[in-house]
Amino acid sequence: MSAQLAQLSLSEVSSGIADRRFSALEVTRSCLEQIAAAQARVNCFIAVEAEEALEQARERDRELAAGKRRGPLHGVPLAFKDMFLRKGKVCTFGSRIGRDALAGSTATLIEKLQDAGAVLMGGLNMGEFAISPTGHNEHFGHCRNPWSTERIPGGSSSGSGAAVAARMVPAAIGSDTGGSVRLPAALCGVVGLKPTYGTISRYGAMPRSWSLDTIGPLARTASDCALVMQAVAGPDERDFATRAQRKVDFGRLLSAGIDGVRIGVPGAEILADVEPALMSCLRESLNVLGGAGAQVREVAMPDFRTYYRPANVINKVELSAAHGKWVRTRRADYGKAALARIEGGFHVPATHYLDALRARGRLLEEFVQAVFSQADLLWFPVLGIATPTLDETDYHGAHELPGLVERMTRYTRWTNYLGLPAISVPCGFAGEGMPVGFQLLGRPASEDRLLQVAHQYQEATTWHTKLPPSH
Amino acid sequence: MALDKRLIMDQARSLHGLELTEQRADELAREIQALCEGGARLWEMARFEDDALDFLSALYRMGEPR
Repeated sequence: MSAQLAQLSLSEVSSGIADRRFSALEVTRSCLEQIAAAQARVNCFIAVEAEEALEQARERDRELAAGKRRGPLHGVPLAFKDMFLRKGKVCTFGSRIGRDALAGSTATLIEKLQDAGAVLMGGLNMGEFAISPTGHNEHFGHCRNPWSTERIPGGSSSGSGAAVAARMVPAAIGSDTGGSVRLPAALCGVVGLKPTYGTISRYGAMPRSWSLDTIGPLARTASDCALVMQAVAGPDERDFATRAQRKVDFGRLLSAGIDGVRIGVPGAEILADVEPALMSCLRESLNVLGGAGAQVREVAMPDFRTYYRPANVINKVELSAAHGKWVRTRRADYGKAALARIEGGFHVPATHYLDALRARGRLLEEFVQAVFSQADLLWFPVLGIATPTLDETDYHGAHELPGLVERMTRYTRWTNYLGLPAISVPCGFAGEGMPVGFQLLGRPASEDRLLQVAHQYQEATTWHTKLPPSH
Repeated sequence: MALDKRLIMDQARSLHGLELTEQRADELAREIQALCEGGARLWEMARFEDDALDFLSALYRMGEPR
């Protein structure tokens, strides 16, 4: 039975522990066995904390025996992108620089996971300083896609997507500044939720670009993501962005049907760049949603490409500012690709950065009024190209990076500029059996609606139940 | 008109303490030029009355009604 426990979804693990069908310790052992079996092939973890995890699991079992259950995450093994501080422990940020220091405080996200009773399995691989959209890492080795180890898992939350797909953990935490939760979710065939800006506190999380940074869960199902969100979302006086949040009950609508829910689809011109093999999977997802009762209709929308440039200006400038000291003092400790990405922001005029920031509120308002007056949610691709190989996207010179990053983040980065929530949902396989995902976007604080429609889609499909080969 | 790579090199050295090769400065000049001036121009997107601090309140205002 032990080996089968790692195959269970978060909801199944949660109810099994609560009902005493198995213990937190048994599930944790099963996940550790799966990690031991698959780590060499996919390189998802930077550090597996086996002994600590086993001890946490024993403690959760003791609590349960004493009648204390902290909530749905009680005893559930989870892992996190290695960018969340824990007092007294190393947090690498996927970098050589991060390996040198012990954290002096603990991230709010980690505190909330611990309070919720999760068993923390260790830090996951990631793009260096969350900079890479591919999953390459020059310091800890590249993370690989469980569906084909020659191909990228997507980044920068590469380990988070790959570990969930490889059944190492039922859910993981990532961060999303321009697509870093949704890309690995789509490429690894799992669900990834990028919440509304300010929904989950970033206190103690590595800053990537604080005007765009969000934290989000990856799991095999939308309902599992809802359970994680319920545990980790909420206001925090230590993160200014959480002041804007509205309270959301993430699981509120999961069991509701989607009859009459209006799903907007962008016009053909906007989708013209998506490769045909992916497009047929994506189109089929609309048929499924329509079959489940949603009203799928084309909507007129502002050109999303308008938002890519200001998003990238903010992204570059804040990245350079965050790294200014280390770039001067520890330049040799950066990987080539990360350094090349950081250099650009030093030369963007301050007025352009401020123009990008100050247009943002008005553009958000215009977008919401234009699109969400016609539809409840907007359907969108996550990625327009077939999953590249690691070799194809390896570093071949700084001059290639802007084009690669633009191809990878074309359909995701703009939503970070507007602060909108978006969920990536697996919808089939294309191009040598690699997973494909679609996105649903909503107005701010509409995660309950996104999770509802994603859940109902998964009730009608089986893509999320497929196992990677040689599993 | 393209950004001058010499300007990028000088700025990198004098303001940021970074040495760039001529080739890298040229690449960065093109990258920044495209970022700031290609397609939608940022200075045309922003209006006089726009307020950078308004984003969070816009996010709240535009939120799903409860």
